Amino acid sequence: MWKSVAAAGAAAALLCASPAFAQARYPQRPVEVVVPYAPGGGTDNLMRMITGIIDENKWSPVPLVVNNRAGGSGAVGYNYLINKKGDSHVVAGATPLVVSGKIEGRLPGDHRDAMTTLMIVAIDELMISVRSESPYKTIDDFVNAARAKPGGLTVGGTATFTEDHIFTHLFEQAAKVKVKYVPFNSGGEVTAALMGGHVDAGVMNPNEIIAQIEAKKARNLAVASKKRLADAPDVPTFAERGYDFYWEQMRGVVGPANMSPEAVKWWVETLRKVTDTKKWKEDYIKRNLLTPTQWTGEEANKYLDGLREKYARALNELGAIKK
Amino acid sequence: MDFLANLAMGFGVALTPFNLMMAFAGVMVGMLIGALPGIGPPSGVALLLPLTFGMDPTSGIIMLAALYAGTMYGGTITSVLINTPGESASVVTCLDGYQMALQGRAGPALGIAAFGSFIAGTIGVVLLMLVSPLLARWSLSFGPPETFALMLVGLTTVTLLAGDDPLKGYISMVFGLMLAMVGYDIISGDARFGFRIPEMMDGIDFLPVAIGLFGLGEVLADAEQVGKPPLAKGRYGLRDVLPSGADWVRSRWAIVRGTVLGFLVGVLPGAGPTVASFLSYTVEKKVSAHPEQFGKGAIEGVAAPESANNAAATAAMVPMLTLGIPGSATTAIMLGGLMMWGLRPGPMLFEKNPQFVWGLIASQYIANVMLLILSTAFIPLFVRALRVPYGILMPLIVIFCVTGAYSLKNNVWDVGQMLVFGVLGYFMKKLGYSPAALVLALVLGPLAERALRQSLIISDAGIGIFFTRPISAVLMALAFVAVAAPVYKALIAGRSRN
Repeated sequence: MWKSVAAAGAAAALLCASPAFAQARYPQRPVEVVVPYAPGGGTDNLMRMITGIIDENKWSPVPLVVNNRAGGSGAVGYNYLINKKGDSHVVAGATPLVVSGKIEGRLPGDHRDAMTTLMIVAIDELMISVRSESPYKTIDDFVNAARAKPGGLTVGGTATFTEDHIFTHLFEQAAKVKVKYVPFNSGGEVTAALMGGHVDAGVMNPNEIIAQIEAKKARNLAVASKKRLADAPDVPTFAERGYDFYWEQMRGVVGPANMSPEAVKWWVETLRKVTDTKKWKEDYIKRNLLTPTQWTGEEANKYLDGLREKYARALNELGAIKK
Repeated sequence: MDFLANLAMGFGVALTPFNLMMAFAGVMVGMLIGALPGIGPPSGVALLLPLTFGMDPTSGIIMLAALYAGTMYGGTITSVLINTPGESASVVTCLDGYQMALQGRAGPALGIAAFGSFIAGTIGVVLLMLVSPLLARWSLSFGPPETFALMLVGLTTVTLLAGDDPLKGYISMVFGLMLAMVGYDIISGDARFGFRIPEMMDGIDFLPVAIGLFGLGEVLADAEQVGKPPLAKGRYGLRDVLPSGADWVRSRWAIVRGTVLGFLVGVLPGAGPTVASFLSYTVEKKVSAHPEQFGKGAIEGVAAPESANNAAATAAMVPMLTLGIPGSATTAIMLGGLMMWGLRPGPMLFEKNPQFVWGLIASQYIANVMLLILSTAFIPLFVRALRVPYGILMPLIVIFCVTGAYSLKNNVWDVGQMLVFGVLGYFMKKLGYSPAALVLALVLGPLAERALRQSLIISDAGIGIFFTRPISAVLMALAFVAVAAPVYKALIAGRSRN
C-alpha cells in the first residue's frame, strides 16, 4: 500500500517536474574542464578554484573533470577546444591567447568565430616595480633616467610578444622613452632577477611582487589600470602621472562555438553563483589582488573585441605578425 | 638559542599524529609517483595540491614536502632496476645504477641511494634551518651571466659522461643542443623548427627522450639476446642487499660532495635537482681515483647524484620560503599552494608564520627518517622484481615506458617522441654514442641559451659581462680549464711520444 502511494507520488513529482527538467537538461554527462597550461599556473589555479567551489556546493549533478592539456604555450589546449565545436560538455579557462592566438596565427579562430565566451571573471593588473635599493623613487625618476640614457635601462618581463612585452611597448610609447626589454621564462625568474639587481625594473602582476613590497624589499612605481588599486592605494596609475596608457590581463571561462543555449545559461548562472561566494572573493580575488568582474554575453565579447584591437595594433608594431 | 626554541616548537607541530600521518602518506605516495615514469614531482605535487585545500596549511605543506622528498628516491628505483628514469633528477642514476643491477648489485645501489638521500636530506634541512637568509641572498647574486657560466661548466663536463671516445661524446652533445633549440623561443618570440605542429612549440621535452633513450633503447638492445637469464641471482635478505663496508668507504665522500653541490645548485633559481644530479656525477668522476669504472657500475656514480638531488630538493625550499621565489618547477607549484592557503611566501614568512615554517622544517627531518626506513625495507621486494624472466619483464618495461610518456601531459605526441628516441637509443648504444651526453645537453641547453642571450641583451652584446663579474669570471675560468686541460695533456703526451 505505502509502496504504491510512494510510487504514485514519485510519478506525479516526475510529471510536474518534467517541463522544468527538459529545460535544465544540461549537464547530462561529465564536463571536461580544459586547462591549456601546466598544473600550478594561473589558469590552473583559476579553474581548480572554480570547480572546487562548484563541487563544494554540489551545484553540478555531474563531475567536472579538470584536464591539463598543456602545450604550445596554450595553443594545444585551445585548438582542442575549438575542434569540439557544438559540444556543450567541454569548457576551458581563458587567457588573452583567446583573442591574440588568431592574430599571431597560432589559433584558427577567436571568441567571435570559434569559441563561446561564458564569463570574464577577473582582471589582473600589470605594474612596474623596482627593488628598494634602486635610485628610482617614482615613475618620473625612472622615465627621466630612461630619457637621459635611451635604451640604457633594462626592464624584465615574461617572454616575448606577451602581456609583459606589450606593456613595456605601450609604456615606451606613452612616456616617449626607449628601454631594453629582457625576456625571462617565468614571473618567478623576473622577480629573482629584479631582486638581485640584474634588471633595473620588472613588469609584475600585483600578486607576484606583494611579498617583496610587504618586506620593504621592492617598490611599485605605477600601475597600468584606469584607477588605483583598492589594495595598493599609494601606487599611482600611469595615466595620472601623464603617461597615458592602460593595459591589463583578463581571466575567464570559454566554451567551444555553437554550445547549446541551455549549456551557456547553466554556465553563466553557475559562474555567477561561484563569483558571488565568499570563498571566491576572499581566497581568489583578494589573495591574488585581482579586480573582480562578472562580464558575460555581449558585454564580455565587446570587451574582448577591444582587447583584440589593442593586441593587433601592438603585435603589429612589435613585428610579431609575419606577412 | 632562539632557533632551538623554534625547532622545538616545530617538532611540536610536526609530531602531532595527523601531521605524522601526512608525512608518511607524502613519502609513500611520493615514492610511487617517483617510480612511475612520467609523473614526476611537479605533476605529483600539482595532483595532490587540491587535496590539501581542506587542511590546515601546515599539514598541507608537510605532506607536499614529504612527497617531494619521496619522489627524489622513487625515481631511483626504476632507474636502477630497469634503466628507465622515473623522473628527471634520476636520469643520471641510470648510468651506474643499472650497470650495478646487471652485476647483481641492485640492492647495494638502491641501498646507497637511500642512505645518501637520507644523509643529504638531513644535512639539507640543517642548512635550510641555519643559513637560509644568507644563502637566499647569495642565490640572488646569480643573474643571467652567472647562470650561463654555470651551465657552460656543466656542458664542458660532457666528455666525462661520454665514455671512451670524447669525439662521440661531443657529437651526442651537439645533437642534444640542436634538439634543445626546437620550440617556442621566449626571447625572439618565434617558434623554431616547429613545422607548424602545436606540440613542437614546447620543444623536445626531455623526459620522454630520456625514457626512450634509456628504457626502451635498453629493451631493444636486450631483445637481441635470446634466452638471457634473469638479472637477479642469489639471496635477497635485507642484509644481502645493503651496501657493504667497502661500498661505504667508496661512497662516503661522494655523498658529502653530492650533498654540498646539490644544495648550492638547488638554491639557485631555475637550476633545480636535475642539473644538480648531473653536475655532481661529473664532479665525482673528475675527482675519482678510478674514473674508468664510471658507467660500468661504480657505486659513487649512484651515491653522488642521488645525494645531490635530495639536497637540491630541500635547497629549493630556501628561495621559496625566504624570498617567495620558486627554485624549481615543483616549488613553483607549492608556492601557488601557499598562496591558496592564504600564506604569503616571502621575506616576512618566518616572522609572520613561524609555526608553519618551523613545522615544515621539523617535518622534513621526520620525512627523511621515514623515507630511509621505508626505502630500505622495500629494497628486497624491489630487487625480487628482477627475478621475473626477461621474456615477461621486457614487455612490461615497454608498457611502463609508454604509459610513462603518455602520463607526462596526457598526450600521445610524447609517446611517439619516446618511441623515436627509443630506436635512436638502440643505435646510439650499438655505435658507442652516449645517450647521457645528449640528455645533459637537452637539460642544460635551454637554460644556457636563455641566460646567454639575456646577458647579451643587458650588456648590449658585449661579452665583457661574463668576465667582469666575480662569480661568473671564476666559473668561466673553470669552464676554460675543463676544455683546455685534456687538450694540453694530449699535446704533452704527443710530444713525449715523439
